[in-house]
This record gives sequence, C-alpha cells and structure tokens, in this order.
Amino acid sequence: MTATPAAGPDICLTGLSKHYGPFKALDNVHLTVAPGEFLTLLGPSGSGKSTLLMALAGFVEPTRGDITVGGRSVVALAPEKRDFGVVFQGYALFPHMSVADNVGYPLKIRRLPKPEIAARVKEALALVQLDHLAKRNPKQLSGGQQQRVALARALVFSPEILLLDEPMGALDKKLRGDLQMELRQLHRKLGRTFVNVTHDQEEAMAMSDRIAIMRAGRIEQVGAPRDLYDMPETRFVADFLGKSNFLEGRVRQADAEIAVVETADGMIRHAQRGLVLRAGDDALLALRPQKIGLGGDGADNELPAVVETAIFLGTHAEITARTGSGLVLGINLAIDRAEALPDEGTGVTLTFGAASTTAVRDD
Amino acid sequence: MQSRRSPGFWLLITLVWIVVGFLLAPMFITVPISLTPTRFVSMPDGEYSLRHYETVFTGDAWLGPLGDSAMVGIGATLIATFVGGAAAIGLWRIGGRAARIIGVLALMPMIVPPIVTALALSRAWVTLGLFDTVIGVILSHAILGMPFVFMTTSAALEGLDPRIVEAARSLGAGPFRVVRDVIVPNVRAGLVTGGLFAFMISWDEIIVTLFVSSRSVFTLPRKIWSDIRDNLDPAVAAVSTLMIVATLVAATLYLARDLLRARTGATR
Repeated sequence: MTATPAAGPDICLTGLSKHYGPFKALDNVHLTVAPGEFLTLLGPSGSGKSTLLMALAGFVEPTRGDITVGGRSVVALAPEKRDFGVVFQGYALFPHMSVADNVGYPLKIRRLPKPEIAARVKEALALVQLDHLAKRNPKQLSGGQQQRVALARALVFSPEILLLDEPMGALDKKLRGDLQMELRQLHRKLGRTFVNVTHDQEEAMAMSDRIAIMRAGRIEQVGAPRDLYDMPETRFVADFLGKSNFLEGRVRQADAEIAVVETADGMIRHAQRGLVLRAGDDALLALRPQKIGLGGDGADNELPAVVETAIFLGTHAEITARTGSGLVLGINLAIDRAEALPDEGTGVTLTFGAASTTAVRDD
Repeated sequence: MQSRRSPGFWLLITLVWIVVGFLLAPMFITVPISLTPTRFVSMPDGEYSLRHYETVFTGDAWLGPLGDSAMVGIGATLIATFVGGAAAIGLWRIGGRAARIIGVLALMPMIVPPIVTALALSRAWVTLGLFDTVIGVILSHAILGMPFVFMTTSAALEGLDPRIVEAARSLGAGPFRVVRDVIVPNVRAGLVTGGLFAFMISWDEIIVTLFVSSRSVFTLPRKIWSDIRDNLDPAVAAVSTLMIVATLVAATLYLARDLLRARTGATR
C-alpha cells in the first residue's frame, strides 16, 4: 500500500453519531482506517464528512459511539492531547507569525530546545519545498504556498495521523492537480495515516487508497477507488462517483450468469455480479456513458434512440440520446478514428454488453 | 498629477478651519491665564509668572489628586482591558445569537446615562463597604471603560479566522495558551486602543466619581470642580494647560510613529 512499511495505530470508529437536535450530522458510522492508509471521506456538502473529521480531531463531541486509536479510546481526550496533525480549510495560519514561527509553534509548545526547533522547521519546510520563504509573513504567500506551510506545520511534530479538511478547497484547478500529486508522494514517503475530506471526486480518486462515500451522516460505501467506480452498490454512489445512466425494470428471468430485465425500452441482458438479481425483483441497472456504443453488430443489448445533442470535446464526444420510452441517456464516445459524429435528430442504435451494467440498490 | 482646485474647495477648507478654530480656541484661553502673576483668574497684563505651576507641583493640594487620578486611571484601565477583552474573546468563541445578546449587555454601561450608573453604584458601594475607597472608584471607572475595550477588541476579532484557534489546539496548545499565543497577539491593537479609551474616560470622569467618593479618594477632575466652585485659583488653568500639552505631545509622538512606519513600509 505504501513504500515505507506502515507503522502506527489504526483508527476505529464504532457507532459514531452526532446529533444537533433532530438533525443527525453523523448517524451510526462504522469505519476502520488501517495504519499508513490514505483514506478520503467523499460526499456532497452537508453529508457529514467534515463533522466526522472534526470528531476525529476532537472538536466535535460525538453524541454516541467511540473512536479508538491503536485500541485506546480518544473520545474523552482534548484536541491538544490527541497529537494528530490537522490541515484546516483555509489553512488557518497564524497571521502574526512568520512562516518559520508557524511551523515551529507545535515544537515550541513541546518545549524542544531552540536549535532542534530550527533544524526541524528547516527540514519540514524543505519537505514542502518552501525553505526559501521561512522569514515571510503568511499574508505574503500565494494560496498554494500557504497550503504547504499548513502541511509542514501539521507534519513537523511527526504525528502518526494527519487529518486534512478540504485541503485543496481554495485553489484553482491546475494547482490542485500539482498538489494532489505532491500530497500523494508525501504520503508514500512518510508512511503515515492520512484522512482527507473532499467533495471533489477527482481529487479523491487521484490520491486515495480507499474512499468512503458519505451521504446524510452515513457511510454509503467504502472501497478502493477502482472498486467503487466499477462496482457501486447504490444509485447514489453510481451517480456521485462518475456519471451513470439508470435503467429501471423488473427481472423476467435469472440464472447464475445472466438476468433479463424488462424495461420500458425492451429486454436488457445483464451479466450477474455484485448484487444478485432474482426473477420477479425490481431492478435498477447503472450504465456508464463510456460503455455505450453506436451501432455495431453482435452486442448483447440494442436500444433504438434519437440523438438530441452531440458535442465534440477533443478527446471524446458527449452525446445525449432519447429512447422510445422518453429516457435520456448520456453517451461518451471515444473518437479515435475519423469517425463522423451523428447529427442531432438522427436515429441511432445504442449498443452495450451484458457485462457493462451494474445492478445497484435504489434509495 | 496636480489638479486645479475649484473655488468651492477653498471655501470648504476655510470653513473647516473656522469650525476647528471655534471649537479649539476656548481651550487655549487657559494658556495665558495660567501665566498670570495675580492670585485671581485674569489675563496677564504684560507680566508673566510661573507661580501657579509652582503651586501645582508643590504640596499635596494638586499632587494628591494627580496621584489619585493616575492610580484610579491605571487600575481601572487594567481591569477594563482584562474584563472587556476577555468578554470579547469569549463571545467571539461562542458566536451565534446568544453571543450577540450578551454583547449588547456588555455595552450597557456605555448606553445607560452616567447619572443612573452613578446612583446605582453609589447605593451598591455603600452596601458593599466600597464607598469612598480607591477600590470602589477603580471598579466604577472600570465598569465605565469596559464597553470601549469590548467594542475595539470585538472589532479586531472580526477579521480573524476562528479556525486558527482550532489549529493551535490541534498543534498542542491548551485553551489558555491559545488565548495568550494566538488570539491576544492578533487583537493587540484593539486591546491597546480600548485601554487608552478606558484610561481617558477614567481620567476626566466626574459624575460617577462624585457619587461614589467623598473625602479619601479625590481625583483631579473632582479637585478642579471643587476648586472652581470655592475659589477661582489660576492653578486650575495651569493644570489644564499641562493636560493640553501632554495631549499634544502624545498625539504628535503617535502621528510621528505612524508616519515613520508608513515611510519604512514604503521603502521595503
């Protein structure tokens, strides 16, 4: 999982809940984070991901449930006793201190001798490539530089666990990409546990060993990015992590390999995996836009449709097409050859394999 | 970049100076009066003397009240700054509607007419045995000065990211250490400004002082007030002149420091 052998404690959340009156910010959350793992809490705003991180950091007192680190409960521990590095939204650098003093502050509190503080500050700033800006004031730094100072400050006292609350939130897209790579490399180099919060699915996919998708105070699904993308368990996950088309229907017949689902647009053959469909069940099939082709012979499924929009985007084309029943499907078409884009308003046949659909739970 | 000023501009400038002169001129009448050689209040008639300054600086008649005022002022400033600053910081941390309501309460001593405060404190201090004690007067003045510290500190906190408190705690600082290391350094300007306000309010406070003290605590405004009632001694003018000079010196130093800072800031 990481280059450096993973050491340190694991984090265990059991039945964690936080209620604000009738509102459940966290609702019976169970989660285990392995030592050295890079875990991202991903969800829309209000899904409880920041509350969960702040509960870990000690700033939100859970209504119920327990948090253990290395087997020991930390719920009763004040934030300053937990020894976690935290990178806050907006970085929260101390405006009255220089960059070096900001980074040295946790060491000063731990009463390290001055020469050692200076040496470790230098080391931490070198780690984020900011050693030349040690004497600057935080206000004189760009957003990306401030983010790195916050990172150095959270890492300088060698915490075993680093918590990141939307660390890229305030940065522009290009910079975000660069910093994602850096953060990932830093994680590999240090071999510490990182718990990251974001609403940006690309960021989550790019950096994490595992992603926990949150919704309405609960964890919807946890897994490696690839597994979550290929095998979403619910409609929410299928739609939140990448785009999906959804086909609704009833299972007509099913065996161990193939289920045939009757939809408003005809029968759809679905290769069984994950959630098992039985004859008579209501079924919801998720279908990624890039799994749909136009025309071609021998496909398991064919759906006649009319092209509504067709947009050329360089690497691919985005097409929307309406089926006979009025269902609008999104299609991502790779354009590798000088393939002609269908005109808007023309009839096409949408094709996809039986293994392209994923059965998900509706919610 | 020179632009021609319109006649309206010059008219405005002239008017401004007339108003300023009108407001400030009476203040400076005390300067010649303080230099009169006579024993009664009069304009000096070609002859000048420093005898009234001598009166101020010798004996207890004026040095006593000056000392009392300084002691009360410093004590009241310290208490007002501590309480007002702590209240502002605490409410900033709590936030929300409760904090806003309590914030209005903290401003009450400034809103309530001084005579009401004076009456209330006078009764309370008699009951508590604080009437006509230095502590009693200091507490009274601290109550009057506290809202100003509260206001200036609250204003300074407005621009501060509340997350720096959580950041400091995550780095290992306990709640009190956070106040000392992170909050106070960032609101120092607000605390100092509020403290100066509190000191100035104490320094020329007379209404409440009259109600909570009689003989043993005798502040400078009280001495001036009773002197003017009993006998018109030009020493009052000398004290006034000294206060004007002190104010001018302080203001000049402050402006000079600001200018210097702007200059060095510009060259950096």
